[in-house]
Amino acid sequence: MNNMVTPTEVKRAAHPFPLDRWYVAGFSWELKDKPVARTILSRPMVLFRSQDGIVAALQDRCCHRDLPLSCGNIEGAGLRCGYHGLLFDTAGKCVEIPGQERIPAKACVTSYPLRERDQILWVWVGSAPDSAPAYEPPAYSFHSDAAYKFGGDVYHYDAPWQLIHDNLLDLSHLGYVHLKTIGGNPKLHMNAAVKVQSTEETVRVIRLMPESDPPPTYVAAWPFTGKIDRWQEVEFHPSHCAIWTGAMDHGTGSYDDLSRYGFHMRGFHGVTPETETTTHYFWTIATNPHPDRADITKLVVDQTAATFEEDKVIIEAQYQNQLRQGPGANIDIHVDAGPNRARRLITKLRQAGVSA
Amino acid sequence: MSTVTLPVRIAHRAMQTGQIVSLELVNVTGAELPAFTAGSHVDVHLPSGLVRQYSLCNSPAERHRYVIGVLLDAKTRGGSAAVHVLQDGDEIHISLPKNHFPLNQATHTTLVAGGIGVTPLLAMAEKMLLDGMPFDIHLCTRSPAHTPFASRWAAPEFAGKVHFHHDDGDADRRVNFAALLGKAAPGSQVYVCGPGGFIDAVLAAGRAQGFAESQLHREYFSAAPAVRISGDSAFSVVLEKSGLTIEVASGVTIVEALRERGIELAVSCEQGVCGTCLTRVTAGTPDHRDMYLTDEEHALNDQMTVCCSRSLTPTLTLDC
Repeated sequence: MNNMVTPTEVKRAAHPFPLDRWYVAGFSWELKDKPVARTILSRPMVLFRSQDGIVAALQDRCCHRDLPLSCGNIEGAGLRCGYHGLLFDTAGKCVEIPGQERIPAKACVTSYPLRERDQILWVWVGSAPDSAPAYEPPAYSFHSDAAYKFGGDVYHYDAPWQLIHDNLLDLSHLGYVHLKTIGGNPKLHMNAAVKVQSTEETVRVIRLMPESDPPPTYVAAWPFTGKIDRWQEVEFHPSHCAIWTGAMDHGTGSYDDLSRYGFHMRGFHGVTPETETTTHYFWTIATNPHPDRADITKLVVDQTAATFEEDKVIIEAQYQNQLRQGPGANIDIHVDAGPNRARRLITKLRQAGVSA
Repeated sequence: MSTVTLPVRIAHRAMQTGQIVSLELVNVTGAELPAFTAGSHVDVHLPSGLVRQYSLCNSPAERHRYVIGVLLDAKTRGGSAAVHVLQDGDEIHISLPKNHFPLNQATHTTLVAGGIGVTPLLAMAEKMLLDGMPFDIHLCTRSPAHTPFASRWAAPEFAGKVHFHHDDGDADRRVNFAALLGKAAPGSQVYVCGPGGFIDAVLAAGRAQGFAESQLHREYFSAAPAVRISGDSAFSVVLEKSGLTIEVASGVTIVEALRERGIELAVSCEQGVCGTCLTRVTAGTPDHRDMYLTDEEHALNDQMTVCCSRSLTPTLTLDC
């Protein structure tokens, strides 16, 4: 009956998500005159932009009687609770209690570091409440590059975040899911040469499809003359994916040339867990309009939205089925090399900082 | 990885040099072959189960044949040897042509070939001859006797365009690429193919001579499928815990060989993707063929996916 264990024998569970890093919390254009309630990695937050332009993320709960601060109003340099009017500044400190002169030192709510860079809002989620950012969030130049025009949206998924990574790292599904827009011949995708590379924090999946037929979105957006040399380059990071897809008229350029004259789609995909079973999906698509088709951006963005709605239907149905039928013994196939690398990477990062 | 393949017959085998064979492949039905573009390659499925990529080196205008050139390389694992034993009339399967090394339109083009790397560049030269596009091709080999396709280069249309550089195997006598590229026409597009060190030297010289990256072209990557289909040589597996030694024949996987002896290993995808069968290696060097482990993990050689990976050493000792 000796069931005592010494502390060294306790194997602590990994964190549900990799911590001490930036996650996408939203886009700049979402923060106007109203606060936004958003749960990030199971931490309920309120995001807002003060009237002097500072963006902030606070715990979405007033320290007085627990009303979500997102039910309140932006006022001056802060956010006023909609119940008894306590005013909090962008650092989470209470700066006014109507009718009371003294403000207790403990009257404050947790503040999360929030940065705005290239129209993306990044929030730092640390393993400890006071963990300070160790580095700045990444730039995303295609939101600021004059050669590109972009649009995007925020989707909410009733599915765990890694199912979305699986989808983004394996674009072989285009030929089955997205026939109306960016799909094309399924065999083309399934048989194309694919290269998978990885580092400690990234996975790259490159699929080249030379001398192929342009899919509908490509035909609409660029005056291709016939066959195209097409590419898909996915760069996975724990918090987001950057996906460069596009095509050149066949034989007119080289994959070696990083400027590749032709149709470009530069996708940004912020994949942020809301909870362990739900996800925020922040996406934009940037394209380089052809001089003769300068007004093509709306079409590319609309067709991309339709494409991503198709993914959402598939992934939510997949997850609902997993819930209904319980865990199954999935058989991996060749297309899973990239997603599996990313899953291994996330598993390792979840374990980081957890003592054995 | 399933792939569409095309059955072809070897219509003409010729020794181009002492170690380079050329094979002329024709459709077994006698019909035209699918068109290809200069710089394309095909996957050749060899009788042993090996799959190797070889560039097409004839004119892309030709539809009645594909020509490949293959160097017998003692250092590789037997693909080139399996090609060299093929004879006229043999039938093999190939993939449809794929191009990861396309030729761009340019005012002038400079092709730089190291040895057998000439094959995709010969197809490019043929294409530019047809189109009347200006180009030069530099062919770097050990000696005239080591230079393939000699009769083709001797044709009048190549006069003034083909330039031979021989080093007699002496690295000190290797052509000065900086000087060679320095004399290229302004704005010339440079295509290089050859051994890795040769390509690196040409690209470095090109950059030093002020060529932009967009002017320098090399094959983007060799389109090796994730997992080769089958085959390769036999080896022995020693199971450390039981002390058993089991022979793994050509065309049989480690998992299959163990199963025949009544030993079942956990396995799922059979493709080197899922990692279910990951096994510790305590001696010998695995021939990694999976996509599950990273390059760094492969280099450690201390674990392997036994569903598809094989052995580079005659014996492999596994922790099972």
